[in-house]
Amino acid sequence: MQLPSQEYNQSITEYYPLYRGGSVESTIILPPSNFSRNFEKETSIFLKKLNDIEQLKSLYIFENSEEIKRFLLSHDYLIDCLSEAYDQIRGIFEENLIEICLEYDRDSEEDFEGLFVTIKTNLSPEPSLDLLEKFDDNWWLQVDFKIRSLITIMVRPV
Amino acid sequence: MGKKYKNPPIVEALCEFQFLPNQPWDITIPGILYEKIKDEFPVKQQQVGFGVAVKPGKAGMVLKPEIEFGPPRMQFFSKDKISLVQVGPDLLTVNHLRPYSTWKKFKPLILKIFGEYIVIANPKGVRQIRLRYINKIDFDQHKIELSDYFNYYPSIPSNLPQTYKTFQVTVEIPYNNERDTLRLSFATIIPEKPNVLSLLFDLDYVMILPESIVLDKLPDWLEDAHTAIENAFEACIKDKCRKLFEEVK
Repeated sequence: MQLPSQEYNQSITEYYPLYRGGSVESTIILPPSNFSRNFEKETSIFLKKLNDIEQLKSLYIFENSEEIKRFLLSHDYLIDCLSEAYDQIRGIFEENLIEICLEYDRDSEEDFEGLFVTIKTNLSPEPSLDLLEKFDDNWWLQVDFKIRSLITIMVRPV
Repeated sequence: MGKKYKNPPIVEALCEFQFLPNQPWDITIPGILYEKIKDEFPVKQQQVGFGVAVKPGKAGMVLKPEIEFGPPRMQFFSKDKISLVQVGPDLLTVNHLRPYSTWKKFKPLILKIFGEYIVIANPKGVRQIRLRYINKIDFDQHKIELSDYFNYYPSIPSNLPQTYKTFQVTVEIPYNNERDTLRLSFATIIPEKPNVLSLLFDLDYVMILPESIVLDKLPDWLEDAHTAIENAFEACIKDKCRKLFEEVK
């Protein structure tokens, strides 16, 4: 094996968001330029889907990461909606937003599986619910029913 | 002529061109190209990529992720959505999703779309070309011995535990006096089903020196790239793997 040092151009970082799979839990914050390069350049349909799922981990706290990722792989039309939902939630809850959690749940008796988005806010219950109602009216209720039937959005004052 | 498999692991093959423009990007190019290829690629879709940037919050203290949207790219799909053409500023890609047919069919498609694009966009040259084969290999078990199936895998020092959950290895091998490079990436990825182990084997052959081939030499470059990828693939797998793919003899 030969690895001439002057010819060693490290490029593995370009792959970081694509292949991080399995159960490794870590958050690596890359500068904005890295993200931009990544999403603009990926022309593989297959890898872009994996990449986009990884990007969602920068927006949401994944409660059960492997299950969420698997569900999103088979329901990839939810990915864009979840990124848009993050933007909408931030716009409405503004500085009162603490974090947004995402959880996969399955109820075999009810024949239901889907994702639960929990908006954690520092507001008391009443104004929290007012903002959730505003979120519903401004955006969520216009989202395709097929998507809304798989994602439940809740607010939790903490 | 490479080996043939009944159950090949290819999930996507693609050929990507990045061009050196003669003039600023003309936004009518995707529309003109669509008119030329719409019989084969009638389903159009605009793709807006998103990225996440971390920026300071209003108070200047709290870092909050923000969505950033990339420049739109037009995608033209075949009726069965198995192949597609993507066009963006100085970018052209021809993708073939699963089930992959044959190189004998994919290569003429690449050349045809490239030929149409060149006439419409009249670029100064090609900055980069890549031919890429992305393979996903699924095992219906949690644990395998990589060395039983592959010749290419991470090497862990013997005084460390030899069992690992995730890995990612990439090497870049120069070809043709460093005009081209073959990037071999092998990694674990998210499995689509529980209790399955999924491995990604990405073979990415790239012309990295801008304008290092003239446009009419593209068929030769493609052939070289395909041969290099095919040879590398076969060199990296073992017979146990070929058995999984059901080699046709």
